Amino acid sequence: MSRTTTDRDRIPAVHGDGTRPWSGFGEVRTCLVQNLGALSPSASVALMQLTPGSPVSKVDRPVRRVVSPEQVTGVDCRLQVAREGRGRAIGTVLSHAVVTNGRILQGTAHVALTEATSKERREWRHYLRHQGVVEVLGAPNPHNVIDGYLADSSPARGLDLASISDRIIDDVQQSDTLNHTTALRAGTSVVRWAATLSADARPTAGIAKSELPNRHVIRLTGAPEDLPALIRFCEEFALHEWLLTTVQDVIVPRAETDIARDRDPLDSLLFALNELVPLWMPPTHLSPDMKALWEAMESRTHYTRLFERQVARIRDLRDQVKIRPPRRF
Amino acid sequence: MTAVDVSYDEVTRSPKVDAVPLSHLSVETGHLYLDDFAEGDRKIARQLEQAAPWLEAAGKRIHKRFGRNARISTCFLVDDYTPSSPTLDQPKPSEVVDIVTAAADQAGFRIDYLAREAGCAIACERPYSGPRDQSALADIVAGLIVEEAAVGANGSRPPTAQTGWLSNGARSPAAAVAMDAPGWEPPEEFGKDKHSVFVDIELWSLDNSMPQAERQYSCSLLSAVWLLLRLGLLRDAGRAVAKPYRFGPGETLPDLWSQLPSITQLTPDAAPFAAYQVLSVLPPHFRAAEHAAEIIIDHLRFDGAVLKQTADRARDETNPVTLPDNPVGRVSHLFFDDVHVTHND
Repeated sequence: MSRTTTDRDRIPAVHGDGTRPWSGFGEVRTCLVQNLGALSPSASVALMQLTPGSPVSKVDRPVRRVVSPEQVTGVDCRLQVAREGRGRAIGTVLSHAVVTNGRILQGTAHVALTEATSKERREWRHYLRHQGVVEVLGAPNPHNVIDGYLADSSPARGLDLASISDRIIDDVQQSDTLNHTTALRAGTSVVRWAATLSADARPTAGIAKSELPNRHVIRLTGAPEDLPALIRFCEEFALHEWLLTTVQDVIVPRAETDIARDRDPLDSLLFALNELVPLWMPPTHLSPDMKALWEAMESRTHYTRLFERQVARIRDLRDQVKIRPPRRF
Repeated sequence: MTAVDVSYDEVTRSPKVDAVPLSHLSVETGHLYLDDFAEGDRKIARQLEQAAPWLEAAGKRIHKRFGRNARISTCFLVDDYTPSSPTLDQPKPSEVVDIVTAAADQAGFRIDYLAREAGCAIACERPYSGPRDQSALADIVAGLIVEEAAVGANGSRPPTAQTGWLSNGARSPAAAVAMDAPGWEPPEEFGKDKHSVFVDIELWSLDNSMPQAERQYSCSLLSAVWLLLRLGLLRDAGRAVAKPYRFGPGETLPDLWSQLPSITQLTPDAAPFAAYQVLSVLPPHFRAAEHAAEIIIDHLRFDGAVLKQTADRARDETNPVTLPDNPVGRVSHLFFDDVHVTHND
């Protein structure tokens, strides 16, 4: 991908000593910030200050996106390998939180897998120099490692990025600056992804909706330098998928039920129109490659068109309520 | 139609990282408690007299390696963090500065910077600084610690960093239930070579007598902060911290230690405070805390931009300096002995 990808300098994906990752894993959780009102820019920055003295990243346009400093978790565990093979991963996993427009909270854990630089575990500072990288001992087949990770159960038997991304969400939601209520009851969605990385690969993505609710699995390819952009793509996909699901499966059906039972659905309809709809902002502005990847995804899924249809439905329901107000409040 | 290239960025996306000026060598010529000045210059005179030959030797070596213009600065640390005597009985900063300057003259060298230990816990840029121009450095360093992963750790459990201890290995599992444990199991150093040297470091304790329990940082952690300041590796959200302050000709030093900047520059033409290499010449009782400080630094995640900035600057020197990846590789210590000459009068 081109070097204009905005997250590039935040996450060093390539080892300083030339070892290049052959895979990347991650998990993204998306939910509402547990606060009744939208957070102000300064409140968002304060909430994302998870490490004192480390800079919080903030971008105001096209939507306000505030990202916490990366948190570092040490791991030394066996990998969950599908079919045959064994592997041990030693290093660190990175995780960060993102608040979008003071409303949506995401917790992301991610790690790059490289070949081991030694047959034994090395001194800790070696792994701290390559944050977000695990070295894999035992040379298992990469396809088996990726399949094993994507199919790993809960609780995880291999690398537990689910717990790490869950924990960062909990850390943020427990902040005493929040009032711990939400204007809308909506679920947490999960996107688990794995990327196969090789020097001359072009970015591609294969998305599968799981049989479990609010869960997607993405298989990606790309060059090792693309990893930061692939992480961002998965975060953006997770955000937009959460918006679509929340509007389609929560707001519209509830409003329809409310209207059928003569209850007032206006609050949640207006919440959707005022707070959620403005967040639909595909990340095509980030780089030409991100634009190509996103547009290819759109041409398969028609997400934007589906979302627009839901927004039109919300406006219809709002108008219906105006014409014939409910009797029960 | 031709493609038009427009770029758009926001400066708050990735705040810039300040650079700090660097010498080739920073020598800590001593470390004393405020109480040590109660007897005037006796203790400091002995300390500086012991340090003098090592300072000279270190200077020779640096000039030989990096040329006649190699920059060397000297500093002295006063511990005002845990005062045992009431504030009124403490010597005033101006008195200590006079004693230190005179003692250094006597020993045949100059002390460029006077630092105070409480200024390592919370950095003050100016005299009489308030919360606006302070940085909680001890909190920042504690927040950069990444605990070493135990074998089997896959991320399911939260790190135990909240407990205020850092070890270089796996603690003895029987320790908590020693009374009824069937057999004792030893602790184990991670990455040991046959035998362990297991170290468990208390980073802070909580003063529970206060309504809001405040962290009382250990000497080990504050020593780590002090080394990192001298290595020029600390930043607060990208900003340089605890920049040395030089009092102007008409400016008087404050009366209270807490009103003094973290680092006061004593000599007008001093080489920069921070350096590529740091040497501490200390009495032997600091050995354990200094070892602990190095273990803490080995468990920190550094901002890659700061490390790169320092390494690049070193390489761009007239006589290029190659720094090791590992910051602790830039630190050396000299603990002098307790042997005295007996004077037969």
